[in-house]
Parts: sequence; C-alpha cells; structure tokens
Amino acid sequence: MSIRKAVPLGGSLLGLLALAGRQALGQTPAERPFRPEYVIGVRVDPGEKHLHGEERLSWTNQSKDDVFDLWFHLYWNGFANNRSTHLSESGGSLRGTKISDEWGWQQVTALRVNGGDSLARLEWMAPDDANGQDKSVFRVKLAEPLRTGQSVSVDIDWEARIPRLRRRTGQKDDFLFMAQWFPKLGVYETGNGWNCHEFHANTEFFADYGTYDVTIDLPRRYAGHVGASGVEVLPEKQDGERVRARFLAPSLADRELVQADGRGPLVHDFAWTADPRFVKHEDVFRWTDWAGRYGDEVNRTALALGRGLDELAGRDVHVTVLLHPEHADQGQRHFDATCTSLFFYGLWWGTYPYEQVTVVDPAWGGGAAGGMEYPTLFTAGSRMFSLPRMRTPESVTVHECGHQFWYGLVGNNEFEAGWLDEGFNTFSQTEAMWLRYGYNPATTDFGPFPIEAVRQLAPAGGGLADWFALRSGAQLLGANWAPLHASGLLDYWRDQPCASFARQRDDPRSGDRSGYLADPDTDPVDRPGWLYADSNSYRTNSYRRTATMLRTLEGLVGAEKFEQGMRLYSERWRYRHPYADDFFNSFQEGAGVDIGWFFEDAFRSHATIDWSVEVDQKPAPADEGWFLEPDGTWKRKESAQPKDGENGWLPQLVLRRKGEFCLPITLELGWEGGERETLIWTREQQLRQAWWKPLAERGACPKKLESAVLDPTQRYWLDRDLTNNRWYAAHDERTSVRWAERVLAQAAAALHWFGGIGG
Amino acid sequence: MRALRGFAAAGRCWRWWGLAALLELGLALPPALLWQRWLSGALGNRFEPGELFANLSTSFRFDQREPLGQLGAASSLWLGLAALLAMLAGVFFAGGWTQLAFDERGESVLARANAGARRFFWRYVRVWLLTLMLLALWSWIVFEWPWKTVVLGWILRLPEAADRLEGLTSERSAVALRVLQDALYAIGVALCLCCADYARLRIAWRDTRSAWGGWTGAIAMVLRSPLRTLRPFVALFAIEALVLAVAGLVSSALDARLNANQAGLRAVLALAATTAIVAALRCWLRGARYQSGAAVLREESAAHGG
Repeated sequence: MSIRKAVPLGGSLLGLLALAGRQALGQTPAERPFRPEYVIGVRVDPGEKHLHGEERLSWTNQSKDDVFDLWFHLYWNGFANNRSTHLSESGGSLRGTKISDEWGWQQVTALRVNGGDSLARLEWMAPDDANGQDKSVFRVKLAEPLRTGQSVSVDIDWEARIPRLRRRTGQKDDFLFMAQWFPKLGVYETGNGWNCHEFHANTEFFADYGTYDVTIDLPRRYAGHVGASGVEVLPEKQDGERVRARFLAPSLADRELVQADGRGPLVHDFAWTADPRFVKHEDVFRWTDWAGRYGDEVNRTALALGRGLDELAGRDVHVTVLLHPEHADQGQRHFDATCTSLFFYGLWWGTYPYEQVTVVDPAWGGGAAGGMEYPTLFTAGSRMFSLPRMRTPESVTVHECGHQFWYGLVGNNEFEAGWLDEGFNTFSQTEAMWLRYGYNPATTDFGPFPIEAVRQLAPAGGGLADWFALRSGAQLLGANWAPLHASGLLDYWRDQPCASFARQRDDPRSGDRSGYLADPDTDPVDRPGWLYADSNSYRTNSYRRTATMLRTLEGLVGAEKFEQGMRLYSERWRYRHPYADDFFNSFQEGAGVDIGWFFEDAFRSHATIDWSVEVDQKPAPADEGWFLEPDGTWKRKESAQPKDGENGWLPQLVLRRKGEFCLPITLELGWEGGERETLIWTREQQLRQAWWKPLAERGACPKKLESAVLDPTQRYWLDRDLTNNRWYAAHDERTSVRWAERVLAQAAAALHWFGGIGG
Repeated sequence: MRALRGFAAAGRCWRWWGLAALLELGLALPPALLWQRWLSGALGNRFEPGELFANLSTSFRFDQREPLGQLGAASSLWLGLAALLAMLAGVFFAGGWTQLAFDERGESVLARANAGARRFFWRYVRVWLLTLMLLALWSWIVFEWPWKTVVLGWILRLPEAADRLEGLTSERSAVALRVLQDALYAIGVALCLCCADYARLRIAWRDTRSAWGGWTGAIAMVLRSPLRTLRPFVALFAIEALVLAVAGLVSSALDARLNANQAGLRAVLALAATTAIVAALRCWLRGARYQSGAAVLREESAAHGG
C-alpha cells in the first residue's frame, strides 16, 4: 500500500505535524506532472435531477514510489445528508439555507481497472476526520502495484442525484452548474502518497494537471446554450429531443503550446454549465490594445524583470460571457473586467496560455454558483440596476478570472494552503482594480435601486432608538407590530438621499487591510483550511490577511524585487503544486533577498503591529538662572519672555510600537519653511526597544516641527491603527463642520417625515 | 387649483410654518453637533488639514470604528428620541393648522395657531396613536404573515428558504415583486396619512373629541369622493417631489464639488442653506395640505351634510 500523507489527522496538532512533515516532500519543480487523461460522457435529465456518467481515466505513475491504490473524490456526496463532513462542518446549512430536501449524491455503479471489475474493492475513506458517514472519498486497491512509469486505465460508471444549487454546484430551475461532478482522481505526491481530502465546508479543491474530453448529453432546449472548460467541438449534435455538446480542455491547439522545459497548457479540473436562457456576449481580448493603454505599467514591469516588451507580450484570448437575460446589458462590463485580469495578471505573473475563457453569470436563485473558479471557466455574479461606477460585476469578475493564474496555472493545494491562491489573487485583484478602476464609490440600496452616496446616520440603532423611530413595536402573535417597516420607496422619501447623503469612495487596498484587521490574530495564515478556528478566520487569513502581507512585502523589498520574486515563483510553479515553503524559497531566490523572518512573522505567527508617533512641542525658553561664563565666573541671566520660537523649539517626539511584527519604518519630519528630513527606525532598533525618541539628543531645534509622519508613502498596510501614525502642528477645523452639515441634513429630512406622522 | 390656493393660503401663515421648520432643524442639530465635536477631536493633529474634507477615508473609518460605532449609537438614540418629539411637534402644529384653516378672524397667525394647537393637542394625540396602530396593521399585512402566506405561499408557491424570492425564476420577477410590495406599502401609508389629516380636520370642523369618529368619518369621506379628497394632496405631493428633486440636484452638485476637493466652507454653508430652505418649504407644503383639505371638507359637508 502506498504511503499516505492523508492518514487520519483527527486532532489539529497531529494534522499540522503530518502536513508540516510533508511540505518538504512536495512536488519539485523538476518533477513531471502526472497528467491524468479523462474521457467522460454524461447524460443529464434536469427534470428528474438525474445524471448518468461514464468516465475513462488513464494515469501514469510518474512518482518514484510504487503505487498500490487509487484515490478518488466524489464531492457531491458531501451534499448527501446532514452527517457528511461538509454539512456537519457547515452546521447543516449552505450559504444561510438549511438543507432539508435538496440533497445530492453520487453512486459508482461500475468500476473497472485495466478492464477488470474492481467495484468490490471500492473502499470509503475519511482521511481527515474518520467520519464514517462521509462518502466524499473512496479508494480502490490495485491488483498489482503500479511501478514508476507504468500506466493504469480506469473505467467508472456512476449515477447521481443533482443537488439544488446551494454551494457552487447543482441545479436551479433550468440552470445547471456542474462542478466537482465526476469521480476525480486525487493528487499523488512522491513520498507522501495520495493527497485526497474529504469535502470540507471551508476548503476548495485540488487535482492534477491533465486533459479532458467531455461529451454532454442534454434535452434539446439546451442546444447552443452550453458552456464548459476548454473549447467546444462544433457543431453540436442533435438527436431527436436530445443535444450533445463536446468539449476539449485544453483545446487541441493549446496542447501544442509546449514550453521550453516541456511543460504545456494543461488543466486540473473540468466544469460545465447550461441554461436555455443564456445570452452570449463574445469578444476578443487583444493584448496589444491593453498594452497600449497601460504602457507605463508594461514598461515598469519590463524594467523590473529585465525583459524586453516582446517577452512580456501575451496572447489574444476569445472571451465568451454567458449572461442571464436581466444582465444582458452588462456583457461589456463582464468582458472588460475579464480583460483587466487577463492583461494585468498576464503582465505581472506570466501570460494566460489558453485560447478561450468563459464567464458565467449565474441564474437568479443560483447565486451559490457565483464567484468561483474553474480552469478556463469561472462564475461571476451581478445584479440588476448596477450603476456604471459600481464594482458589480467587475470586482468578482476580476477576482475569479484572476484565479486562472493563481489556482489555474499555479496549482497550489486549496485544501491545505488555500491562501496561496486566494490571498495572492486578492492581492492581484486589488492592484489590478486600482489601476483599472481606481476608487470604489460607495452606494446605498433603496429596495433594488442603488444610489451613489451613503448616509451618516442610521435611521434606527436598535433598542430604544428603534422604538422611537417606529421601527420596533409590540411582540404579538409572533410578529413585531412596528408601525413602520423598512421599505425602499418610503425610506427614500424619508431620507431624501440626493439632498442629505454624502459621496464616499473607498480605496480597495484599504479594504484588504480592514478585512485583515477585523480578525488579525486568531490563526496564523499557513494552515489547512479546515483547521482554522472558524469560517471567519479562514476567510480573513486566506484572503485579506495574505493580500495585506504581500502588499507589505512589496513595501519591504521594493516594487522591483517584489516583481522579480513573485515572477520567479509564478513561472517556476506553473502547472505544478507549490506549498508555502516553495513560495518562500522561490521568492527569496527571485528577489535576491534573505527575509525568512518576514515569512515566519507574516504567515506563520500571530504577530501584529501598531506603530504610533506622539509629539509635544513647546517654544524653547529663554536663558534663566546662573551660567558659567568663558572667563570662569557665574553670571545670572533673566531675559524677558521670548516670542514663540525666538529661541527655537523643543519637540518631544516619541515613536512607539505595540506588537511584535517589526519592520524597518521611515519617519518623515516636516520643518517650518518646507524642509523635509527622513529617519529610519530599523527593525533591529525596534527589536531592542519598543520606543524611540529620535530628537532627544538635539535639544532646541531652530525651526518649528510642522509634521511627523511614519511610513509617509504607505509602504506597509498591516498597521493596526494608521490614525496614530501622523502628527501635524496645524489643527483641522473645517472637516468636522463639513461632515456635521451632512448629519444635520439627514436628520432634518428624517425628522420632517416623522413630524408628518404626528400631523 | 385647490392645492395652489391652499399653498397660497398657507404661505400667508409663514410664521407658523417657519416656526415648525425651525423646530425641526433645532431637533436635527444635536446629532450634528455631536459629530462635529467628535470629529474635531478625532482629527485633532492627526490629519493634514483638509485631508478628510472630501472623503472620510476607508482607513479612518476602520481605525475609528469603535468610537464611530458609539457615536452612531448615540446619534441614533437621539434621532429616535427626536423622531418622537418631532411626531409630538407634528401633533401640536397640526392643531395650529386646523385652527388657521377654519378660523379666519383677524387675530395674528401665531395667536390663532397657538390657541388651536393647545386646544386640539390631546385629541390629535389620540388620532396619532390610532394612526400608528393602523400603520402597524398595514406593515403587518404587507410584510408579515398575510404577505408571506397569501402572496409568497398560496399564489406564488415559493418554498421556504433564507430568501424566498430566490425561488422565483428570474431576478426581474423578484425585483418586480419587491417594487410591488414597496409600492403597495407606500400607497397604504400615504392613504393612511391622508385619512389622518382629514380625521384631524373633521374633528376641528365639527369640534368633536372622538379620534375614532374622526377617523371613520375621514375614511368614509375619502371612499365616497376619492378624487375630490385626494387630488389636492397628490398635487401637493408632486410639488414637494419637485422641490426635493431640485434640492437634490443642487445638493448633489455641491457635494460632488466637495468630493472633488474643489470647494471649501462656502459650499458647506450652501448645503446647509439648502437644507434649511427645503425644511421651510416642506413645512409650508404641510400647511397647504391642511388648507386644501379644509376646503375639500367644507365642500363635502355642504354636499353631503358631513
């Protein structure tokens, strides 16, 4: 039997130890991919919620081990009952809805290995929690060990009940989104065995790079309305009341694009979708157009990487957006956001190698399929009445298309190190969004209609405020008999937002920071997804905290070295499966830096930091008392009270740090007359002492200190409180009046409305 | 035309609606002062002057989330309390308006209005309480059991879910249903407030004490002559909507200039002036409702002996 790293891990400590031991044994950059080749035929009857599939898988043992068994995922069994690991961990609910009659399951009906019936050797496995009720992983023992270089052919027939679309996959009315829908082979890692985890609530997926040839058989009404990973082989075949669509992923043309090191475009999953209501928006992403629009960024990247513009040039990509009719007018917005990712990610992390990408706008009520990535296909998500400057659907589209790079091309293990794609992608998304779209304008919804402004005051704040504002009433017959109910039209009339709200714009990079600091120290970043304290900690660490740390890393080493380090990592691990140490090592090698301490603090500790600056400045007093003269005599001096600053100034300047995440930080002093002075509070100084008085030795300063600003160019984004990082001699009086006026306007509008109820 | 005549008649009572507007602005002032004071302290010497004038940055709002939360809670409490006071003030001023509508003696506006306000206050408090009960009933009908059972369950057969509207086949259907629900609710609330106005006018006209009688009489009158009774209110609503649209355009333009950091305190003062003017105009329009309603009531009484 193969050595399995996926031994029952049970307790989190044991799990961590087992995983930590394995990380050093992960796939090496030089190792060949295993390249499973899938040929699948699937017939779906949406009315019956039934799927029948036949799969032929060919797999060659490229490891140095003898392989004794094969491990497969059957993810849909996570939706089979409330005892599955997935539904147990999620408390029986998926995205807020208690699952009661929307189950889904998969049943293997035939299993042949190299032509021999092996169904009897199918064995359910629960490597993570020993949950006997979880049927999301099975293995089949091989009759003979598979030696290095030997291949195996597996035929699997299966039946499935399609779940209601509550989490990523399933059916809503005629909308089908089929993800994790077929028996999928785990990933074999030399020395570790099969990496094949159960379907957890918080984690995503992991599979090996390979090829897919999938034929989808559907009722005829779906003709021309099917989308999938890869490229469709046209024309679709219609046969009576059925239609068959065949997809190849990657396309045959893409498979020819082999790199110098022998690696070529492969994909590690296959998803498909169909809906008779789909409206198609098709266009071509043209690299040269975007390179012309963002010439400065292209030049900056080329300079940082020391490469010619031709070396950075990407390919044109055919983009298909499958929209639902009520979002048909947003096709161009989806396309533009997709191009944003293809261009910026391609420029920074290496070109997108496939000829096609498909964007899916989920159906109403199928939003649980939204915001998810699959190779060459991803789901976005939008709404009606999205204002042109709103970032819906742009934000989710840029993010999910970005996963084509972080997840699709650099194929980290999303079970054990989801942050390596989610966090890297969140960072890249924010940077791309910032360059393409700038600030996010905040909006407020009145019913389904948004307006581009926000209120300062909540119309009711709970408790007594709700009672007075008629938003809370007597509890009777199970209902709250409040005189007024939240309602788009009435709330609009009450608030008069055009006259009383204020515009607000958000820096998306600050959004990453806020997301991180909402829960900064519950868990370290680097741990398996199902071992975080809760889903909140998973999200914080995997997405926003990692993004904030990467942005801080860029501030620490500089944009150029950062680009070099990230580029080496993304290129070295393209079509491979990196883990945390692979990133740390590749980055340091690429950037030419030795900052292991940063990676430990940022990704494997709970350390946080809050720097602050305090200033107390007084005019230097005149000489007073007895002073020793050059001739050796004592002389008394008593001057008149000097004018402010006549004898200079005494600024008491104290820098402090709270927290252990020490980074070298810049202090910029602004002196009267516009003179600037820059000081560095080094990491070593900070480790020795938690405070620093940089002007303590100077005595009276000839000029008045006008400002003291820590990290003036905002290289770091992890500081827990940026408010205390700056000090200015001048006091701001206008700003408070400006915002108080908006409060007055909103309160006046609301009170007029309430007055009308009285009479 | 009756609406315009009512508007003109109310215009002559500018002291009364001016006083109402001043009171509304006065009640709105404390939360504004709370914010001004807190912001002045929070910004202190920590921000370059003017840095947050156009936009309270994401970082500032996040770093100050705890004191901002406390400020929001305090403001909401005050706003809630002020809402209660504003409603009672509305009761008081309604007494004044009904007196002014039916008492055309030559005494000063303020003297007549004040007398009416005191005379009718407790009767109108009862009308107000009845109005709140009817609003609660209407809210329950449109948002609670009747809507969920009849519309979502019996008619649309939507399954139970965190968001039942997702059971519909398209977002367009869901939006249409929400808009329909909101519109029904708004129309019901507006009708309720119209009837409350007529109830107060009837109480003053007939000098009775029964809020229930006033309400039932008002409902009967509106049902009997819906066009005649509601038309002036609809016209005044349209005028108010126009005023607010213009004010919205002006305020949005000013706020956009502030947002682009191209304007200073003058623009802020212009915004405040717009707020004050709008408050005054809306109080004037409220007076016009009573003047128009009184004219309708007189005609209705003449025609039907009410």
